[in-house]
Amino acid sequence: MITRVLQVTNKLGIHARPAGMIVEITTHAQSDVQICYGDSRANAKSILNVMMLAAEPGSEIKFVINGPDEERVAEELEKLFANRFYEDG
Amino acid sequence: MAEGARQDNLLRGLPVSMGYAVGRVRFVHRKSWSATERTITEDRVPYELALFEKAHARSLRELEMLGSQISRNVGSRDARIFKTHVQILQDPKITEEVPNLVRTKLITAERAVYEVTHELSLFFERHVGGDKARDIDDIADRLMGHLNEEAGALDAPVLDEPCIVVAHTLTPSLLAGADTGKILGIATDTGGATSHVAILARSLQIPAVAALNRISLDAKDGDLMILDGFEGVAIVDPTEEEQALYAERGRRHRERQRDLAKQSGAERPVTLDGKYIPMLANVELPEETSRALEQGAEGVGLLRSEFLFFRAGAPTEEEQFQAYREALESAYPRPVTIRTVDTGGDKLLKNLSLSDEPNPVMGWRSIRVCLDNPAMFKEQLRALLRAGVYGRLKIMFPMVASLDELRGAKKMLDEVRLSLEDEGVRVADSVEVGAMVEVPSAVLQMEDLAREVDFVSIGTNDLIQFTLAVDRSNEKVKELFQPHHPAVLRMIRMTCNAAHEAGIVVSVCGEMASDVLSIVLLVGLGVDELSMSPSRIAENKSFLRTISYAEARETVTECLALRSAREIDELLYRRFAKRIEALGGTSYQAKLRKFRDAAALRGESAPEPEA
Repeated sequence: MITRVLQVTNKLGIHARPAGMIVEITTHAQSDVQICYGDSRANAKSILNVMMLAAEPGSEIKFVINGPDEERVAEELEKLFANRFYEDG
Repeated sequence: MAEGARQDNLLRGLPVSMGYAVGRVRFVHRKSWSATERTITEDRVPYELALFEKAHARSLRELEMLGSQISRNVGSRDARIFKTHVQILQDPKITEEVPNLVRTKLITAERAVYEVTHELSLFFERHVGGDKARDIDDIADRLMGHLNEEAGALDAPVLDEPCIVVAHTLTPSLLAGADTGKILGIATDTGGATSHVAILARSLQIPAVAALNRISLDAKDGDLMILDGFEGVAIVDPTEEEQALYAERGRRHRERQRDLAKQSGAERPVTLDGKYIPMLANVELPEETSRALEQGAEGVGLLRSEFLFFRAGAPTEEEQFQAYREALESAYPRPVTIRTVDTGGDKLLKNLSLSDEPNPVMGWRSIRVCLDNPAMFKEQLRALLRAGVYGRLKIMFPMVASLDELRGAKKMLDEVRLSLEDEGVRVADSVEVGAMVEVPSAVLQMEDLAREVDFVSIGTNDLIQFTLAVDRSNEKVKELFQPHHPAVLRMIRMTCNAAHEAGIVVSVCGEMASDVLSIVLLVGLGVDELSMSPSRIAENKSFLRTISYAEARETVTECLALRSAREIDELLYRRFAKRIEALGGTSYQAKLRKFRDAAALRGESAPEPEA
């Protein structure tokens, strides 16, 4: 099991589109992925869960990843956050 | 029953399919999620789960198709929203929670979808943002819509015995799923003469009355009812006198039909001066073909293939092949014209088309849908070419509005033929290919189109509505839907002239082809073939035998000099009413009466018929 704390650096926060991109990674993973924001913790394979967190710009999100492909999933998520969900500019 | 109460039991509506019916009422309703019962018994759980599964699969398919279409036409960024919707639809909160609720709370799938999405929507509204809530609402609507549609198809009534089907609204899918042989008649609160259910009823020769407003409230399951599809009357709980009267009328009508069919089966549809106008049948389902031929049809002029698609789910290539083959074999050596899928407009084929377009009639429909879905379209073309081996097949593309569309469709047909040949599959050597003329642009460009097809067929319903800009399903403007409008007649004349110049045949397969007075005009304008509801063929053949081609041409010349549909109608009435009256057919009588009633309604008297 590994964890990653990632910062939301895009302008609009985790709205539908970024949530969709996160879920695209998590639903294709064999690992179990949990998403934590504030006091909430939820299954990150549900786009609705991710959207419902409504993570704001500048906030931090923790992913808890557990399974055979956890390293790869962590890497992909890091890349997605680092690139601000490919939406600014 | 007291005489004074009678009026309550007699309702007047629109006659949309001729014939008389006397029978017990069978009430059929589509469920609507706002009004539906919410709780179910345990044994209904599997049904509700199946319903949800189907509706869910359909919604997914629809969204994926939309997404790929948008990404092709607009760009992948805009397609993202559909991708998000697909993801939401596949979210466990929906795929698991809805069935869970159905099982644990014993509620309908519709109610469960409502509860789940409503809660989500409220959450987003309060905590995230209104636009996300609207995404959820949109998905909920889509799911609900398909649940309703599936319920319609799955809930197709199981009819144990012959009955008169009564409904507020009927959908084609509901009717196509039922055992139509048991339906004596159809009475609905809504609908009009050109609604798809009305067309289907005529094709199946089931008497039908629409626009009865409150028949679904007045009639109860098991009530005795008389339905008069000539006059547009429904009588609930009729008196013995009324029953006797209608029993006699029905007997006379059937006798006459039998005589006519016997007579005209052998008779050829020729004018007094020897002009031969083949009369073919419009059918919805391939199995209707043999019955149509028995009624004197000289082939099938229009097989509306989309009806295969109204039955549960899209048919496979093999299912289509079998169906087309059946029609072709039973008609051989007579031709069968099969129109490729024509969806949209009032037909709303949910699994292929979209119901939420602002202007569906001019939207994504017919050939446009087919060209955007090559996989589906090629499957149909494969089935057609394979079936073509078994008879005289003509393939017709609907709603052609430009040469590009025609060429696109023909190119796909060529590709399909080549790949079938590569696979070593037997295909028809010679298949005629034609286009429907329904859009004014096709008429105006007929010289070009006619060079690239073997025949054209005018779909008058759409041509009239597009020429006159009158939505034929809108009751408020239906008076403006005038088949004899001078502009419509000019459209038809232009089509005939250009097509004949190119040496190809013009047929008419719209409603006009079955109207006795329109036939005079069509023949006079130069139309070569007529295709109509099989039930109208016998009467119209005998009418054609009372007029001459020269007279029809003369009448058209006079009509084209007139300025309005009303003047043209009056001229036709004056000249032909006597002859029509003498033929004595029930539908003729109703037609003439309707004409006189309309005049009376305007405070005028009908023109005096010429001898």
